[in-house]
Amino acid sequence: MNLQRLKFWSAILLGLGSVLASLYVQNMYLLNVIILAVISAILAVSVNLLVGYTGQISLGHAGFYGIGAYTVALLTTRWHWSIWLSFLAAFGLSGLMGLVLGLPTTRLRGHFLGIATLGFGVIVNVVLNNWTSLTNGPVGVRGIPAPALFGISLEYKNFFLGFALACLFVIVLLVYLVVNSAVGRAWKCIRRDEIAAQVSGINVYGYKLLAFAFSGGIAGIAGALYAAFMTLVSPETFDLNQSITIVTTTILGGAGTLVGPLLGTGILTLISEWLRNFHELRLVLYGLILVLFIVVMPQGIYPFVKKHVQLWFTPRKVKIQRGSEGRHL
Amino acid sequence: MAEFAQTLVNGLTVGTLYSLVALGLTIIYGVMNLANFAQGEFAMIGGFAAFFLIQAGIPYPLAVVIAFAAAGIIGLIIHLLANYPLRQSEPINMMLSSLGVSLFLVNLAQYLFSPTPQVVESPLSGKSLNFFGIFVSQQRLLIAFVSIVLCVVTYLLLEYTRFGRAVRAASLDPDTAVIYGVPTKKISFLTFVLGVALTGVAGALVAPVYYVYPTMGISLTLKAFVVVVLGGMGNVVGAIAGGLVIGLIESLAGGYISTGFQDAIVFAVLFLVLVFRPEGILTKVQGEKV
Amino acid sequence: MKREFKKITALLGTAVLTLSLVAGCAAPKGAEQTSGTAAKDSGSGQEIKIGFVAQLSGGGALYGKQMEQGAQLAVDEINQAGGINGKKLKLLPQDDQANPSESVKVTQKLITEDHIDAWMGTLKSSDTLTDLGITSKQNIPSFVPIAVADNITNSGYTNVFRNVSNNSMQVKALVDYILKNQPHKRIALISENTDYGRGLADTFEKNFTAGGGQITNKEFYNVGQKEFNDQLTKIKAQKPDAIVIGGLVAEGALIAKQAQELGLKFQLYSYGGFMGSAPIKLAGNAVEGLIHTEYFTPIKGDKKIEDFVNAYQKKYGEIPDSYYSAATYDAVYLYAEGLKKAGSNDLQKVNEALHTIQNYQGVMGSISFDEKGQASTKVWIGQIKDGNQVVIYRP
Repeated sequence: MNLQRLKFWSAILLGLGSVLASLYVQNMYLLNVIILAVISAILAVSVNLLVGYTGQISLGHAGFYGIGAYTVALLTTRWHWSIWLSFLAAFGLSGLMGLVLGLPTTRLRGHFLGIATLGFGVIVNVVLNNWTSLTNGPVGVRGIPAPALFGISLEYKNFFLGFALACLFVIVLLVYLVVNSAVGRAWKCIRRDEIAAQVSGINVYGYKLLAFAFSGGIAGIAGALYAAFMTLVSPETFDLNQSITIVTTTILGGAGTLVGPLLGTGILTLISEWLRNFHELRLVLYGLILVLFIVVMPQGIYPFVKKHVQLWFTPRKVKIQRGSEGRHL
Repeated sequence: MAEFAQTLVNGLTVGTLYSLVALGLTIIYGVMNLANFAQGEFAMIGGFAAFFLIQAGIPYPLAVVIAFAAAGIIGLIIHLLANYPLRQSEPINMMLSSLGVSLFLVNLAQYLFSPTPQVVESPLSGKSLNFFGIFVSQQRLLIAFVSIVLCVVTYLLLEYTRFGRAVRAASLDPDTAVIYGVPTKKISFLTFVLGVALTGVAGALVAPVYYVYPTMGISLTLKAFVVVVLGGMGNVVGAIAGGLVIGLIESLAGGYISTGFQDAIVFAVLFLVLVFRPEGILTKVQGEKV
Repeated sequence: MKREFKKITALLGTAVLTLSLVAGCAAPKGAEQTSGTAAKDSGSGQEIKIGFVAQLSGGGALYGKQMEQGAQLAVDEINQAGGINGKKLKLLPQDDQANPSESVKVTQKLITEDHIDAWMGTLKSSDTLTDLGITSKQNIPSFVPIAVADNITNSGYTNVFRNVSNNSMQVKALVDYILKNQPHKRIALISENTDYGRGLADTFEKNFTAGGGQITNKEFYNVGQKEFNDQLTKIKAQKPDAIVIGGLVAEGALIAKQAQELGLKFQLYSYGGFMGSAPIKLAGNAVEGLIHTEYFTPIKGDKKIEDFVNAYQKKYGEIPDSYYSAATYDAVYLYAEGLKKAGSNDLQKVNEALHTIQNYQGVMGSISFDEKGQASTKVWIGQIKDGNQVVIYRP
């Protein structure tokens, strides 16, 4: 128990430390990259709630992301809401959309759910692109005000990074608390075996809906951060590619773990920036590396690393015993 | 009236093309439980194969046949490297791996062949038939014809041959199939190669209509997915019907509602189908195994 | 175990205390773009770096590649001739995947990591505008050779230079030409669903209806779309006199071809995005007679253009047929001109020098920048006749 507690508090300290440290980053390129990575990490955490904890797939998460971003963009520029109020609205609206999407689709599973959510993503993108009177169409919305916190303008990228990181850690903490509550146990049960969950009296439908709404809301916050950071939004950011990237990141990092999505985002961001040196071959190599990662570590990077580190430290005898226990433990 | 008839004809001709791509996708899905996001890229491979063969002076019909083989061979390599190692893990991993494959193939093609669209000439390109003011391009008629023939051939293959029975057994219940001596590994291998090779033919056929370029397959994959879900995954007849239905919905939506919202309408229909008939429009409902 | 836990807690506590102390001592200050000249003084560095941002992968790579090749050719030529002010030029290309956040990221990378002296890009007007927001904070001379949205040079930046006519200029030229020289009064518009296409369609509609014309259809399609029969069938039913295609080569060629297959025999018009030898190669006789505005045509008889075309063909094995490569080629030379005039690569001096350029003879004609940085280039009208590009109206 103590070890658990220790882990928990050191994670919190690590979070606080990195938020503080981030305020001192002065390199603008680095700031840009890290802020966008933090936003991606929030998206990965959000999709992890579905893929990792309840065994549902979403190939339309860019839809929630877009709804969050456009909510902030339109409310602040058109109706002059305060930015924080619009953040709340983004969370609420995307969460609501998650609920609405979840109502019919949570009964689907596997690839059917994948295609249905993919359809949702496409529909949101088409609406953003074509409902010109509201969304300004492909031109997008510009001039979103940068938020200010305690009188500090987050226009400065390092302050924004601190804020975004703080958001990420709060969200991770929230997810941690939820996952380790009764709700989380129900989710895990559903993921393992839906029918068994049903039989043991878990309201499968309700818990799945909850996951959808929560996940949508978090993606909405990511969208709100994106809008506030870029100060502009346009439909092409929230396309199918984005949805696919989010899922890839999550699964590559290790779905169903708290650290996996964060690690996945970090590693993919690093690789993708490093590959810029290869100019024309960049995306060729990126595709190759993706396949390689999945083939070598199908369970995800974090579980893979964790397992190997643990094996390193366990005595031989235990190792053999564990080997016979089978997978997924 | 002529406009309406033309819209219907447009929808049906496009629909047969979707059917052909979906045909490959659906048999792969049926046997391997793989949502192959790289499916359209094999159309690109077929298209480029046709382009280079015709440049080399090989007649178009032969080029189409070789495109079938070329896509099949590359499919074989991809299967060995990206699918086979993942046969034991969760289906979603193989899907992700196919996403990586798609990214790799598109960008490799761009690196090797440049992003410029290339023209492929077929004996029929540029010609169209005129029935009382309704125009149909001859190449599109050819696509429709070949699609239907290939669908029928595939259907017969699956229904009446030893290989077909093995495929069906493997897709219904792989574990039991193994017990009964069906070589499921070999079957999934053959199915994947056949599935992508069929899409290679689709690529060689559309090349004269759409040109050939690295990103040509991406939108085909999406459409094929819609068709496969609509027709029922693993269902060959469903792929034909689904293709035609999607083609019609698309052109009617574009013609009478809005071309901008076309894709949204197609996906909205798909959404409704999924909600009310998740098994697809043609598949009979079977009891779920617990 | 318990003792260990206490120890570690103490350790962590100390760490936090130290951190907060540090935080207290040196309160973080807002990260800002240091003004460019402070980052590097103009004397140092052997190379003058031009950052280049465009889509180099995916669908738009077709155009981005041509842009890069045009710029690279100019850089090589200048370097072969001994460079500028004793220094060599260097082009640093980056792929932005036509994605706003990627575009910002690579622009920022070019500025922070590579310390570029000039910036050039992009394919899309909206991304260009966003990137210019960054380069203008640094006062980096920024060239916009391709993106044509009006607001790029109306944003009040003094470091932005566009050596190509904007949307309004080319639409106005086309509308004036149609109204004056052609009998077409009912026109259908088919444009790509982007800021480019929508801008073209709206401006055309406004100008053309003001001139007494009528718009029968206003259809849009998505970039990367391959099937245009639905839009074209709708247009056919309205029986217009002509169709204006507001898009780029890949889709434009398919529109022309499918229009022909559907038996549409209307006059086709288009803009600088859909012209040159590529449509002829791709759509063959379907584009015969197409009338288009143009910025650049590889015509014979002009020494400057012939030299460029020959050099380009020698290096890349193809003829530069449209403005993608010609405009970036000119832009590099314009920057070189600015460097020469300024006598150094000091950002402010170069910006000032560029504004004073008068009648620079580029491959796209005579260029002078106004105070907003917009070049007053003329729009030509060309036509495809017997499979060749012909200039039919040259103001």
